[in-house]
Amino acid sequence: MEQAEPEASPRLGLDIDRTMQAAVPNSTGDTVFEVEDLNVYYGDFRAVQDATFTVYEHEITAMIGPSGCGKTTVLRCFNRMNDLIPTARVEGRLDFRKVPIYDPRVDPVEVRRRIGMVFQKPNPFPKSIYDNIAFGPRVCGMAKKKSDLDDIVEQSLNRAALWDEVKDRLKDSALGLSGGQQQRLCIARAIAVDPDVLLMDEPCSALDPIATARIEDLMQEIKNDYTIVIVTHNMQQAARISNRTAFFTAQLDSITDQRCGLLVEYDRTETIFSNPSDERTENYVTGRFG
Amino acid sequence: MAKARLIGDRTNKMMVQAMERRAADVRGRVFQITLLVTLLISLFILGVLIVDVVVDAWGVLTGRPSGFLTGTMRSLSGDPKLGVHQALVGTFWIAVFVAVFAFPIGIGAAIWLEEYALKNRFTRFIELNIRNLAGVPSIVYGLLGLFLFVKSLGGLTGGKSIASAGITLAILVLPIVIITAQEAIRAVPQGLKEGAYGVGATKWTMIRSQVLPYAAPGIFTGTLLSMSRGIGEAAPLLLVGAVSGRLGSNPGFFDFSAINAEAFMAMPVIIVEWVQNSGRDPGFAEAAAAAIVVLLVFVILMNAAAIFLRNHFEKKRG
Repeated sequence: MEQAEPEASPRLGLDIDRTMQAAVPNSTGDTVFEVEDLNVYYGDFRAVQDATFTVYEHEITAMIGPSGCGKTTVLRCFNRMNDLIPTARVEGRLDFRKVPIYDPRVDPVEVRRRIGMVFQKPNPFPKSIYDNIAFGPRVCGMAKKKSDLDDIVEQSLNRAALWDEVKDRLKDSALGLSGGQQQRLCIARAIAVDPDVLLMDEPCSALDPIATARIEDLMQEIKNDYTIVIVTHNMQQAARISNRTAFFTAQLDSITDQRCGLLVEYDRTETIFSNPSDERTENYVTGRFG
Repeated sequence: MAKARLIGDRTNKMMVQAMERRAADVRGRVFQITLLVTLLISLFILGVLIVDVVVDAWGVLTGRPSGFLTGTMRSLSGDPKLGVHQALVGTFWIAVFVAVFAFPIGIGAAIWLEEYALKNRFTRFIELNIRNLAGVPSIVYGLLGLFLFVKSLGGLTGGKSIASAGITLAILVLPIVIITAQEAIRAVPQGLKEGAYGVGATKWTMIRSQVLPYAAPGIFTGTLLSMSRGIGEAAPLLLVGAVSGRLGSNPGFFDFSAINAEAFMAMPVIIVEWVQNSGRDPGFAEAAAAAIVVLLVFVILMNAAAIFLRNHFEKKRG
């Protein structure tokens, strides 16, 4: 049904909409996030202005744009991570599988369990590799027996393509791993609680090209089970891995007279990179951004 | 060809000259030496103090070390039963009171301020006042202890007792405990907190599993150092009733009935007492020096415990 009437690219009432109807690989066409007129404020400062787009199941959705364009802010709205910033305020509609997650009745802890997150800087806990993975299942009460927990740890590390490298030293500190291994550990930690969505905030920006390639391969593998939203500064990365791309930019807000994040264009990745409908998008993806 | 011309170039020669002409950085050098001098002055004063005290105390410490530790307060310095036992027991229990009252309350307040309190003007006002309280003269806390714990709550504390003194000193070090614990908690990386939240941890789980283990070394160091400071205080203890002159009773270390008995002694007070006595009986100067050495060892042992605990928890946090 969703495929017949796709809600993608709602900002653009252009003929691009018709190209959206082409089948997307792996996609079931179900929507995961529906964002409408999303505004995010930090105190009086408006960080994101009227963002409207839809994230589809089993796709990788990339958010690109220059620094300060609000893409990370939008990402952190998806699992209510912005709640940790006391001055942050979110307005507009943000539905996760038809549930408005900013409804007062919604428990942010439950939201974050279903919508996992991988951060820009690998942030393993200063505990053993095993305890890093087991932390989530433990706090969520997922494993009744030790053997269940062992299984979850092994499966998660396997999925994150890290098991073979660490299986003999699960009791060692996670801080002894290399940067790339730490980031895969963080991915394993995120998928250990069996989330629906993985949010990734520039997960490769601290990694070398080889480690980056491994993470990208990993994302392609796991997107059959999860929906991935990734913020990246690396346009080639967005082009390589994502199904859809949202291009954000920062522009002067006429009301507050401050720079504010704006969603310029949202479309299938091929379209964004080969035939964007907005000049600003074209300038950015071709490297002519002013 | 072009390369050769460049090397022979006049500008290149000037550059080489400029780079080789390393001017003496006089002001930087003077600054560095001044800093070293200030450090040496502090170390020198400390060294003189320690040497002076140890030399004075040498006779007592080498002559009858165990007799001095088990002896009691006497009116004459020549009395072979003169010693610091009562004061050691008092200081030990005061330290226990500080640990039991100041640590949980102080650490709890710090967690609230860092993790739960809204960052508004009211919180900043409270934090400012805690910092001010850390600078209040200790005698003021002695007055508070006298009116609150000795007079008003005398039924509970036994009046002028170890309990009153311990709680008074606990309140004295409370601001320092809060401030040091706050600093330790503030140093926990935001990434760890977000990592814990990101897999569905509640705030309480996040604090218990990430914030407290990470902050533990800093909290322990800070709190034990503040306790070292607290047990060296004499002024408030004089107000809440450490006795002068003779103390009839001589309870053991684990004589719990003595905790709210109406008479006690503590190390800093016995030192003051004996220094005063040395006017009429010069032998007390030697005893006072020996008592100072005992108190110093007590404090050093506690600091050693702080370092041990810090290393232990640092190793645990990976």
